[in-house]
Amino acid sequence: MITLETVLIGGLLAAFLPCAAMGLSLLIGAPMSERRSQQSAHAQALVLFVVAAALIVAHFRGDGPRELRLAPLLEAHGYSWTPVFLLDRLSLAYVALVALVHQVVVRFSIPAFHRESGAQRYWFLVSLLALSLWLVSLAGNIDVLFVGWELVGVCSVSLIAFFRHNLRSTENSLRALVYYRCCDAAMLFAAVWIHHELPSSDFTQFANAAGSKAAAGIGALLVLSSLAKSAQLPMSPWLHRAMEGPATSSAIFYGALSVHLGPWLLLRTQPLWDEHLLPRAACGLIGLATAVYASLVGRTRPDAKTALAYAAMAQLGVIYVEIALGLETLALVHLWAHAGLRTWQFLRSSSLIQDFQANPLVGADVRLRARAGLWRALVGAQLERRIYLAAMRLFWLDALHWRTVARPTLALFGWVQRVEERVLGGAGRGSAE
Amino acid sequence: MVTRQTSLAEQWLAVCRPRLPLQNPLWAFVHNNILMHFEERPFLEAVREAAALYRARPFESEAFYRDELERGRIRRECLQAVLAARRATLGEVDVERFLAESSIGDALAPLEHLRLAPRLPRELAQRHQRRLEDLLVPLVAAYLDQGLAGWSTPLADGSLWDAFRESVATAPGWSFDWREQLVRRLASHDNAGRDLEALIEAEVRECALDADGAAYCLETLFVLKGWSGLVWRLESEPELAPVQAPAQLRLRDWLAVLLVTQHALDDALLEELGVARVRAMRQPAPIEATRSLARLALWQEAYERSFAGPFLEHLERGPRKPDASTPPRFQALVCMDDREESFRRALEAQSGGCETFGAVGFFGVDMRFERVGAALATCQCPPIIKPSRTLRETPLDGQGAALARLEQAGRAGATASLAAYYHSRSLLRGVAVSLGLGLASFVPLVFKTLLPGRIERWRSFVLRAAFPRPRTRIALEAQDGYSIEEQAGIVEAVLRTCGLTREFAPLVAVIAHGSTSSNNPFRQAYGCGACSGNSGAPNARAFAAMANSSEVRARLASRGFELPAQVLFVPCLHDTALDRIEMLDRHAWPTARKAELEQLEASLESAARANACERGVRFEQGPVYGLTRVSEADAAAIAQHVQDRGHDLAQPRPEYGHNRVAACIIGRRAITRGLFLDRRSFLVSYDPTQDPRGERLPAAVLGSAPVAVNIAMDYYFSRVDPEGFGAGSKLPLNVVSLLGVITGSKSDLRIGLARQMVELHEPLRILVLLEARAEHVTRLVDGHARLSRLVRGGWMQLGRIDPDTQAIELWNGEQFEPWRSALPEFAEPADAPSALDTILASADDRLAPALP
Repeated sequence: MITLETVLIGGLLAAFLPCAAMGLSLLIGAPMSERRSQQSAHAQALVLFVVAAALIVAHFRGDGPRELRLAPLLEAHGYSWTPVFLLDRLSLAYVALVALVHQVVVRFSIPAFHRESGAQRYWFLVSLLALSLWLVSLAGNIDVLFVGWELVGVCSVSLIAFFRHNLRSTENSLRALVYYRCCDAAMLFAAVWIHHELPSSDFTQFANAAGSKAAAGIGALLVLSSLAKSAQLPMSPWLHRAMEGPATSSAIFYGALSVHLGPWLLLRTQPLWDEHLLPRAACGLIGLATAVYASLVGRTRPDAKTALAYAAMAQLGVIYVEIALGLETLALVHLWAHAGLRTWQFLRSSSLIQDFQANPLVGADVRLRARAGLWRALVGAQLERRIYLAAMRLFWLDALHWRTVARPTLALFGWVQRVEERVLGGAGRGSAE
Repeated sequence: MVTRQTSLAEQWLAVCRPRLPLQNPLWAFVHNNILMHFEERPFLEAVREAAALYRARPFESEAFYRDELERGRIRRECLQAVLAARRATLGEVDVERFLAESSIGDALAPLEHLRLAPRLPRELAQRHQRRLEDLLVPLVAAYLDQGLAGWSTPLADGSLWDAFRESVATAPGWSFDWREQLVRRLASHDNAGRDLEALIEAEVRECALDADGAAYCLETLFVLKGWSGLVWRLESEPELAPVQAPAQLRLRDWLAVLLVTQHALDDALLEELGVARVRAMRQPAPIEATRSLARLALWQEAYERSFAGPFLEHLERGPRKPDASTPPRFQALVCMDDREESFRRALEAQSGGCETFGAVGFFGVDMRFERVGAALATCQCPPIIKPSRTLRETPLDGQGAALARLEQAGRAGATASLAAYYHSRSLLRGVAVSLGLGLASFVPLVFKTLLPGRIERWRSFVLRAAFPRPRTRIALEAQDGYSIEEQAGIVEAVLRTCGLTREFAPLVAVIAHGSTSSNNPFRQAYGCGACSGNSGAPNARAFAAMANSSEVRARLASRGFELPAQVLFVPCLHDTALDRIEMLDRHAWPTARKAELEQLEASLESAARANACERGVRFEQGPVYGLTRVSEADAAAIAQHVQDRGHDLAQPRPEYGHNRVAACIIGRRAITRGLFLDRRSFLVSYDPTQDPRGERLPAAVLGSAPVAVNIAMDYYFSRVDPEGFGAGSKLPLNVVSLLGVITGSKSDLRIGLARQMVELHEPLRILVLLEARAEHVTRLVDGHARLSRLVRGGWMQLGRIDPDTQAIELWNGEQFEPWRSALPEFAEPADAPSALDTILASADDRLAPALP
C-alpha cells in the first residue's frame, strides 16, 4: 500500500539526490559536465512535478487536509525539531505553482545557460531553490518553514551575484542579503516566541491559540519577517538591485516564487493573528503604501526588468491589502495569477524591441502615451515634475537607508573594531612583554 | 550661439563626434565596422587608439594565439614567415625564441589615461565608475526613453543639461554621498556666469592639467561610451529614433554633464583619500588594453596567414568543373551572404542542374518599403545607400475588403497588446490585468517553452484562417515609384553585373533571405545585411515584378538585352534560421506553369533541408551535433530542431549568423562551384569575361566588399573583447528605453554583438578576392576613397584571380604578386588536402574562451 507519506518523502528524497550530487560535485571542485547538470535538474523538476500532481489528486479524492508528522530529528533541552508537513488547500496551491513554474524555468534555462560559465552553479541553485520552496510550502510548523525560508534567501542572493566578474552584481547581492537577514531575524524571534507562548508550533494549532496574549505581537513579527522577501516597504530597495541576475532567475524568484512567499506566509499564519488589529493594520498599511510607492516608481523606470520588478512589488502590495481585509481566497487567486503573468513577462522581457517594432500603432510621430494625462490635470505640471523626479530616484529610499541605518551601523562596528583592537592589541602586547 | 566664432569647446566636440561608437538604436541595427571612423589610419595605429578609448583589447590574447599554435590552427611556418619578414626590426628571431621571450616584437609602449579616476586605487576607481552610472544612467535613459516607461518623462521637453540640473536640485542633501561636491561645482559655474561652452572649457582647464582638451573630452565621453554614441547618433539623425528623439538633445550637454559629475566625484574621492588632484594626477596610469599590441599584431598576422594559405590552396586546387553541358533546369539569384554559400552548394548538387548567382541581396531596388499593416517604413537597401523612394504594398483588385479586415484586426490586436503592456504595470488596472490575464498567461508560458516551433505554426495557421492575408503587390508604378526606364536599368544592372545575360533557364528564382528569432533584441543583426537587417522579401518581389514585366523587357530589348519571353522570374524567401522556403507572390504564377514551379519549390525546400543538416552539426544541443554523416531520420529531427530554435524564447543562438566568415570572393561561380567552403565566404557573382573594360566591376565590388568588411569587423571586435567591444553575455541583458540594452539594472549602453552571437567566430580580417584584371582593380581601389583606405590601411586583405589564367595574386601593399610568393611559406604546393581540417571542419571549432 502506497501511502501519502511514502509518496511525499520518497519524492522529496528523489528530488534531493540530484541537488545533493550537484552541490557535492561543486564543493569538491569537480563540477559535473554541463549536460549532466542539466539532466539532473531536469529530472528533479520532473519528479517534483509528478509528486505534486499525486498530492493534488489525493487531496481532491477526498482525503482533505492532512498533517504528516515524522519522528523528531533533533531533541534537546525540551525542544524538538520535528518535520511536520501540512497538506491542505493553501500548501497544495503553492506547491502546484512551484512545480509548474520551476518546470518551465528549468526547460527555459537549458538552451539559455548553454555554454555559460558558471552554469553548474546556476543549476545547483535552481534545484536547491525548488527543494527549499517545497519545504516552505508544505511546512506544517514554523521550524520546518524557517529552514526552507533561509535556503530560499541563500539561493536568491547567490543568483543575484551569478555574474561574479560584474562588481555591481556582487555589491547588490550583499545589499539583498542584508535586507533578508534583518527580516529573517524577525522570523527567528517570532519562532522563539511561538515556542515560548503557544502550546505548539504547528500551524494546525494556530487557530486555537488565536486568543493568546502574544498572538498580536507574534503576528506583527510575522508581518515584519515577510517584508523582505516580498520587497514591501521599508524593505523594498533591494528588489531593483536584484535585476543584475539572469532573466530566468529574475523570473523564477522575483516574478513568481520567491516574492510571493511573503503573502503566502501571512496566509499560512493568519488564523493566529486574524482577530488582532495590530498585525492586520500593519499588513494593510504597509501593503497600501508599497502599492502606491512601487507603482509611482515603476512607471518612471525606462528599462524592462526593473519596471517589471516594481510592477510586481505594487501588485504584492495589493495582495497584502487583500489579506488585511480578510479576502483570503481573492489573495490566493491573485497571487497565483500574478505569478504566472510576471514569469511570462520576465522570461520574454528581451522581446520588447521586437514587440514594439511589430506593433502597427508604434511609429514616428505616434506618442505612445498622452503627454498630459489625468494625473497632470490633478496635481499640476509643477508638482507632477517634482513627483516624477523623486520617483525616478526611488524617493531616495535607498539613500535614506544608507544614511540612517547602514552608515551609522558601519560606524558603530568600526568603532567596536577599534576598541577591540586597542583592548586586545594592548593585551597582546602586554603578554608579549 | 554665435557669441564667439567657434568656441574651444565646440572645436573639441568636433574632434570627439566622429570618434564615438556608431551606436544605432537596435531597431535600426546595422553591421558597422565598430571603428569605421578610425579607418583613415592604418589598422595597427587605429586599433591602438581605439584600445585606449574603449579600454578593450583589439587582438586576441597571447594565450589564445599560443593555444592555436599548439593545436595547429596557427602554423609554425606562418609565424616563422611573419618573423622573418620583420627581420629588419626584430633581428633574427625564430619561433622558439619568440615563444620564450614575451617581450619580442613588443615595440609599442602602452598609452596613458588622461583622466584622474584610473589613477585612483583600484577599488576606488571601480567605485567611481559605479557611482557615475548610478547617477547618470537612470537620467539619460529616462530622457531618451521612447515609451518603455509608463510615465512619459516630462524632462524630454527641455535640454539634457536642464534635466540634469533639475534632478540634482530636487535631490535632498543626503541623497547621495558626493552631492555636496557636485552642488559646489555647479554653484561656482553659476557664480562665474558661465554658459555651457565656457563651463566645459573651465572644467577641462581645471582638471585636465596639460593634456590636450579634445583628447580629454573624448576620454570622458568614453566613460559611458554607449550612451555617448547614442546621444550623438540621435542628435545627428533624429529620424533614427523609433518614436521621437528629444528635440533639444545635444552631445554638448551630455559632455558637460559627464565632465561636471566626473570631476565632482573625483573631488569626493580625493577628499576621502586626502590627496590633492595635482598630486594624484602624477600617478602613472597605463592602459592595460594597449599593452604589447605590436606583438599581438604579429600573432594575428600569422593567424590570418594560416587561414589564407590553405584557403587559397583549396581554391586553386578546386574542382573547377566545366560549366554543365546540359542547360540548367533553373537558375537562382541569391544574396551574396556567406550563409547562402551552403544553400547554393546544396541546390547545385541536386540532379537536373541548377545554376546560382550571387547578387547583393537588395537586388538593386533601393527603396523604403511600407508593408501592409506596419506603421514604420523599413529601409530595404544597404546602410551606405540612402533609399531613393518609398514604395507601398497595395492590395490586388478585389482584395480591399480582406485588407481592411486584416488591418482592423491588426489595429485591435495592437491596441490590446499596448494596453496589456502598460496596464499590467500600473496599480489598479494592474490588478484587473493580473486577475484577468494572469491565469491565461500560463498557457503560452508552458506551451511556448515546451513546443516553440509547433505552437507558432498552429498559431499562424489559426490567424491565417481567421484573417486571410490579402493578395498584394508592390506599387512600383506609383507616383514616385520607378519608371519603366529605371526598372529596366535596375534589371539590366543586376543581371549584367552577375553575368546572367544569356542561356537563361525557363525559371529564375530570385531568392531573398530573412531570419526568424524570438526574444532577441539583436534580431536586426540576423537579417539581410544588404537590406539594412530587414528581410529581403520585398526586394525580391519588386525585382521579379520588374523583370517579368513585358514593358520592361521591351525596353531592355531596345537596349540590346534580350530576355526571352518564356523566362519567368520567381521571388522566394529563404529563412536562414528556420531553413524554410516561402514562395512569394504565388498568385502571380501562370497556371500553365504551375507544375514546373512546384518542382522548383520542391528543389528549394530540399536544398534548405540539406542546409539545415549542414548547419546542425554546429548546434551542440541539436540532434546531429558533430556528425559527419546525417541519416534520413536525423534530417527530419534537425528540420524540426531548427524550427524550434527560431521560435524558442529561451534560445540565445537562433542561428550562428556570420560566424567564421573570413573571405569574400567576387567572380564567376565557376571558381567556387562544387567547392566546400564551410559558409566562410561571401560569394558575389561577377563575370569579367562579359565585361572586358571593367565597367561593371565597381557595381559588383562597391556594393559588396565594404559591407563584407563591416560585417567581418563587427564580428572581429565583438569576438576579441566581448566585454569592451561587444555586448557581453546575452543573459543579463536588459532592454532600455526601447533603444538598446544594458547589463543588469544600470550600466553603460552595450555596443557590438553579444557573446553568444560570435562564440564560434574566428577573428580575422577579411580576405577579398576579385576575379578581374589587375589594372581594373587598381583603378577601382584608387578611385574609391573608402576602399582605398581599407586596402592600404590593412583593414582587409585584397587579392585577385586572373580571369584568363585563374592564377591567384595578393596585394602586398604596393602591387599584386603571385600568392605563393606573397606567402613564401606556401611556396611548395601541399599534396594532402587534409591540411584543410584546421580551417574548414566543425570538429576544429574553437569556442570563445569562458570568463573566469
